[in-house]
Amino acid sequence: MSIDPLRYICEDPLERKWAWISLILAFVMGGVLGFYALASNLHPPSNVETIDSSRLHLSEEFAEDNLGVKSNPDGSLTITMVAARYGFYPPRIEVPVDTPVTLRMASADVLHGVHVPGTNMTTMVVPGYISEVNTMFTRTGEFSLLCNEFCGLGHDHMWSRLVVVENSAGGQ
Amino acid sequence: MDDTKAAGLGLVNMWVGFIAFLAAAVMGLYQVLERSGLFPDLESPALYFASVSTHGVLMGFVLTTFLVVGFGYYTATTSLKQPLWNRRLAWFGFWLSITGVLLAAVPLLTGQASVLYTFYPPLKAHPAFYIGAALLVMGSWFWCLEMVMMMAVWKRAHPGETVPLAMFGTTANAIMWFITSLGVALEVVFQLIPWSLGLIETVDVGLARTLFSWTLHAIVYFWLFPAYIAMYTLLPKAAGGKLFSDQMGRVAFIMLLVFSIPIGFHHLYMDPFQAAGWKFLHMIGTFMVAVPTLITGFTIIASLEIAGRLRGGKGLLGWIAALPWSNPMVTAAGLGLLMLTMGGFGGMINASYSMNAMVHNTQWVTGHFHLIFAGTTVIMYFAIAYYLWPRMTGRRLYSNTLALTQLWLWFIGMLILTLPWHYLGIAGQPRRISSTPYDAALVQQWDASELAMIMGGFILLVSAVMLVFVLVRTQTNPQREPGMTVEYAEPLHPVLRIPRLLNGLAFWTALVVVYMIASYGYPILQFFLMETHGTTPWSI
Amino acid sequence: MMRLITLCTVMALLSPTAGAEPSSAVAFDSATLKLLADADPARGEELAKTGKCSKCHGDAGISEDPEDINIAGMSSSYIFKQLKDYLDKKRDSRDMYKSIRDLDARQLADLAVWYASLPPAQPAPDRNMDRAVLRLVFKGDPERMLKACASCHGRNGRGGQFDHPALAGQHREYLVLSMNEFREGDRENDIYARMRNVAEALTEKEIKGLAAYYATVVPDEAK
Repeated sequence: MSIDPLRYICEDPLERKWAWISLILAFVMGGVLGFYALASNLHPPSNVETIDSSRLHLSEEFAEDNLGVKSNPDGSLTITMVAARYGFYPPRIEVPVDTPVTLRMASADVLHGVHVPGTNMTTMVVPGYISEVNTMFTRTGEFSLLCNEFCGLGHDHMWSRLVVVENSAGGQ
Repeated sequence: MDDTKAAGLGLVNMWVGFIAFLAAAVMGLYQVLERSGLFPDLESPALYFASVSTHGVLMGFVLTTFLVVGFGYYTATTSLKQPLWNRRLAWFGFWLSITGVLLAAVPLLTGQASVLYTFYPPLKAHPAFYIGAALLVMGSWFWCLEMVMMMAVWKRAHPGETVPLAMFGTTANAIMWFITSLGVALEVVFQLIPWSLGLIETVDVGLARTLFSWTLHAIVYFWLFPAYIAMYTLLPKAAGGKLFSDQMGRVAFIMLLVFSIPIGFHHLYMDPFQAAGWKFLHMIGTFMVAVPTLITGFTIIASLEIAGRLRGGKGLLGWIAALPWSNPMVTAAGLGLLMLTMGGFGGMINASYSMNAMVHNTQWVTGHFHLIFAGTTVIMYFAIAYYLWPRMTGRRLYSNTLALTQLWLWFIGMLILTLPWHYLGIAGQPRRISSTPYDAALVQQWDASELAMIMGGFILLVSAVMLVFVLVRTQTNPQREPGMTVEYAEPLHPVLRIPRLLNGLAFWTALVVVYMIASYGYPILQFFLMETHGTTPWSI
Repeated sequence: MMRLITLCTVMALLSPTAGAEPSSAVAFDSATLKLLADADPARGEELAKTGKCSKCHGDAGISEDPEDINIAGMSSSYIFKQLKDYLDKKRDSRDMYKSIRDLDARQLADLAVWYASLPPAQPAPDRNMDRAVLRLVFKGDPERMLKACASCHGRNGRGGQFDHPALAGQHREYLVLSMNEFREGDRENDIYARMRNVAEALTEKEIKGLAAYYATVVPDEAK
């Protein structure tokens, strides 16, 4: 239509064009992200599950003998880990490449964050809540899980190892 | 006239801000030296994190609040040509805030509040820190009231007239700050203070972070507003031109008021206690809030082009060279706009929902906010200071050359400090670390960029010292220059009629409240509906 | 007879599926914190007297035998956890179990706050400042994923929150003994194997060096 609604607030035609470009830019960026969110299931960790962090090792899911990498019936893997000052437990995990993994992590004490440089695995670990990240490691090699949220004077030292290995024929 | 009383209030507030700034700048240098690994005797997590906490509080809460408040009082009286609504309340607010700062300073400086400027529980600081923070914020609320009342009084006395743009922006900022600061106030008053005093046993970390996120985005617009106000209303005349569009300035301020607050979840993308749908909603709002900045970019650059062409600049870009770069306001704005462009693009990545995962809590974030806040916003604070000091003190600016040098050093130092941080973030370096005791392969990748930090830090400290030096010498300059007034920009097209909605803030305030209930209502309510497990206090 | 054999067989077959027990039954939740907050050191002093704790741990909580732990001045939460772990048999010691088996959790808390209130051991003046040991204490060893001891045990060795014990002023021999217990798996009450991982990564020489460092660190050094 020839009537431009922005006329009411913007007299200059060039500036009006720019205002439209800005609005369209905002919507396009939002739209692209929305499209990928829905089409590729690309969402940040948002599972909203609670747990009592002060009794974490007495829980069922985060009991000491339940930590580590486990196979699921559909071929994916679940990695169950704990963040506690100042390390991630178990401190070394091994995962096959190109396999869907679900990381489930909980804090035994304070706020932590964890990311793995070279991958897209990242999440906050909030006491009172369970974090869940779904991803797949596409390169083999040695990676580090680093704590990226200030959790106390030992924060610098909080990290653990992730090793991504070739997929053996029978899986885990 | 009453102008001098506001000048006093303006000066005192802004001096507090700049003194805090200088102290924090010194700490900044200590931090980059400690991080470099070149001075083993300096290495100490306890000292480092106490410094980072103090540096963050001084820069992010003290410099900013006092500067915005001081600038606001002076702008209100000079743009409306009206006395302060209630001098006593204004000073009361100032003293309340100062009390808060001093109360919080003691635990901060003695290592009992090394919880960083975001003070996320369950790391627990000394209760005096939280009480001090609450008092600082509440003191600023008196300023908010003052701004709203002054605009209301002026409108009653000038029915049908257009509210001066500088005041329109200042009052929009005041309303926005009041609404956004409620988040952190609720967190501090109902959770952190009673918890740190032992009156309640546990704190729900999810609720605390959600409430803090309510404040966390719009606070940066609280800081940024004076920079934009200066660009819209002080820069055009300083550059020798006119404001390209007064109306679009109002549109930008209104959009900032409406869209800055209900978008805080882009700070919580990686947190498990909020559902993805809410985060997506906040993402859309976050992209919308980029629009007023894009509009501002256009209007300001167009205004500068007018000034450049009026001064004889020809050709497509000839007007740039023709601008009066010897004017600190013009130089600061030019450098500020460059940093705004770079920082703004970084911000768009941070806002991008799933892509945020690649930069969350890495040094990219540190680089981003230093570039955009310490860069764009703070360089405009310097410009405001150089412009207003002669007018508030009645004395000549001590040295234009020193002022320009200081601004250029700040720009160069900021780029050297922040650009490597962006790289380090993508290379996986976490933020908020005092050393790098990680896998050798990772650390080797980072080494060169770490050294850049020290150079940036030194240059910035020199620049910070220069700023305070020039302001002190201006304040005590025997060469007086009485009668200098604030010359607000004239719009290119005189504003004959203005739509009511662009001349008042009541409707937009109501809209913000509705939008806030929609964006934050259930996400906060959920904590009271589901069974959550709070956390007891943890020491640092 | 057949029923007995069947019963034993069934029990033997079922036990692996029963799931391993947690390494400690102690959690620092609100209930435990309340227990410790309400504990009375005077009652604890009484219990220490009647229980004759001083036989091994000394009158002031500082033991004469270097293989017995100095408990004076350790955090009450740490002492409580160890006592409860002994009582629950998560930590194996016939002597300790015998000493406390008739006590309840409240009394263990009383004992804990009593010993926590006593001044900690003063270390010997000779200090081990070997550079390799200092590096482990303050920087750790990234290659072995060893974090700095100071990160959990404090820059001055005075310990951290809850179950991160003080090491400064402890007996050298006791420290070596404890680390070896973690290494061999004889002591398993470090939740999530936090200390077992550390002890397994350290060499014997390093353990001795660290013990010598902590046994002589001045507790009130700059924090």
